[in-house]
Amino acid sequence: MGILNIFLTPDFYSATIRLMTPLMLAALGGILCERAGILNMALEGQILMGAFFAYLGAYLFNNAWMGLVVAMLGSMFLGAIHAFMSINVKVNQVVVALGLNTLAMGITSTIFRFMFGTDSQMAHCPGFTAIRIPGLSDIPFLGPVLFGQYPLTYIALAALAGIHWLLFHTSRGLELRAAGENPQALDVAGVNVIRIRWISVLLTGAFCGLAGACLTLNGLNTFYDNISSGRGFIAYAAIVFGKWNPIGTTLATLLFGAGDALQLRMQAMNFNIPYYFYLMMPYLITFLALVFLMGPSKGPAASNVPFVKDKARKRSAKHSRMGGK
Amino acid sequence: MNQRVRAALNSIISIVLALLLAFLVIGILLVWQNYNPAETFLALFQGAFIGKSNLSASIVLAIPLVLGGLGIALSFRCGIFNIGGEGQLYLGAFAATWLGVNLTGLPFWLHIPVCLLGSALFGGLWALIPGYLKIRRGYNEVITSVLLNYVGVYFVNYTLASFFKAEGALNHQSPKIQESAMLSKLMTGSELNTSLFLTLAIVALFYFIFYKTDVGFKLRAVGANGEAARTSGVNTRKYLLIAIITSGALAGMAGSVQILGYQHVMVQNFSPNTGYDIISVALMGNLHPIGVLLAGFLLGALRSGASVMQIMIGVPVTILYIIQGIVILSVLGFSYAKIDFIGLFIGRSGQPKKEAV
Repeated sequence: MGILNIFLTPDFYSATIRLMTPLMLAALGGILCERAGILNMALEGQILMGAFFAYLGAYLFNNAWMGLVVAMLGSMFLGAIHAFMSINVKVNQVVVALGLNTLAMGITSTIFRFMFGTDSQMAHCPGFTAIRIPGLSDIPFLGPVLFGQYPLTYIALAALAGIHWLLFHTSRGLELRAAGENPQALDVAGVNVIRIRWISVLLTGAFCGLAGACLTLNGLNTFYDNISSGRGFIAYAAIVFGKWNPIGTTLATLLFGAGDALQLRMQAMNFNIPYYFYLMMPYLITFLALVFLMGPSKGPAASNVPFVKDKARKRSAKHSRMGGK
Repeated sequence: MNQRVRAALNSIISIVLALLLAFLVIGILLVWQNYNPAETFLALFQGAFIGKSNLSASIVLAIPLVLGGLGIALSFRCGIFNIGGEGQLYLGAFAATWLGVNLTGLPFWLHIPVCLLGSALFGGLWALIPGYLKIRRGYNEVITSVLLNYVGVYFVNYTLASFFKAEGALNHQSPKIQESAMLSKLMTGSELNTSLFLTLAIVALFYFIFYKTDVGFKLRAVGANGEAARTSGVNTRKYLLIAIITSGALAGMAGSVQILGYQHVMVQNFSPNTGYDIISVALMGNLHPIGVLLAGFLLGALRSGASVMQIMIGVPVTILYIIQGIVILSVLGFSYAKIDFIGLFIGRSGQPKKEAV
């Protein structure tokens, strides 16, 4: 009896995967722009935008899949401001993210009130239902855990494979990583650093949109203020914990998801622990894991360093233009 | 034109332009939703500034924002990003309330400073954790301090629901603090209290230390270029630690002045989001003490005006977050793009181009 029983039920593992999905999507997306040299502390705001616009899209089009499209657009809007400010205006990337998180809170909670009022009677939107993969979901124990999940979980797994392949098995991925490690060298090789960084920030936005959609469309089917409640920062911690590697990062989100699932199961079993400690647990586990389970790690070398084209390069580009060859 | 005057005028113009841009965006949103923008902004303005009670409510709301914003400005200027204001504020308020309730028989001139110091100590210690992890072990302080916000706030809420709960109270709240720990009111019919003078004194002290002393010079040097400061013999770790502990202490006091000043009991979530608003204030004030004073007053006034606006017109107060976001981003953009507004408006007046701010 007690805590150990939790680990014997498939429910716990199934909840772990459900709870890790938004973290996984946001963290995998975050890896892209982190690896390209843009420090992204705005994951939180982008998840919030994704959550609200998924709800809004699903509500207006009466279709959960349209919600995903609108969610990605909403998050990418914030991503575009982020990209413009940090790549073109070259502001401090931590500070711009703080402004964006505030802006996201304003946009989502204001439009929510404008559209749906402040009634406690909240309008529900169509959401996703869990997909049972025929045959496989009948396997005892493993079936419901792995093959009875929401569609976004399968999308997240595909994203893991896709991002790993992109980063480490394609020349685009090599260029993306070079943009974060040594942008000057990449520029000399004739690759457009600015463009790579823009694309990766926008892609991050798209993934955060999906992450946000998990919060509103997977069963809740409504929205409330600040629904992301720090998940963007937990996702960022997962990136650091996973040392900027998609597989390591996914394992980190698995750990944080398990912590969250454990907390929920323990609440249901009514242990003699004050409610507030359950609420605190996801954040405390992330903090303790970060501090005690791993040493400090270094991100990409050019992270948070705006790319400025070398003056000599500018001149030589001008010369070659004038030469007309 | 004097360089410093020019820089100051440039920042003032940039914040005014940022505000105009923010109100333009809000205006478009309002027209889309069939509200009358002129009427809405008039209600906002009246609620913020017109009449003794509105104006004093604005100042009361501004006090914690200015205090906390000063600390955040210091830490950002020094190059260490303390985002943990929310947790530090709650723990500071908890310490001050606990001392205010449980210390009895002290004269007010001893009791109040003890409560304030207690809050500064708790806030500072809570900020020491991410500070230590950053400086000694290289952890990203943004992440650790944000995570500690949630831990701190939930811990304080737990105390208010358990051992620190007032007997017989229906809500989760602390007992009332002793009379001797209450700050005195400045006038009847208003919450305005002596923490106003404390805040103004701290702003002045802060300005003096930051711009007129060796310590202040080194703090700014560490933030401007840590590598250069280190090679010229400055102990950068020490100054980073000073910066983040001070910012935590001020965030803690931003919590305690609300309890000692007018709330007198601590309820759960007594000051929601203030710990994040102080970051907005620091950034809107361009990380300058006088800028923080003005930005804090502005945001306090907007907060007090917005609640009047919500009641009178029905426009939600959450538009403030849009305004904050736009102002932060624009002020940031103007300062990094190095736009010289004075130069644009009156010409460079014979100044060599490079000296323009």
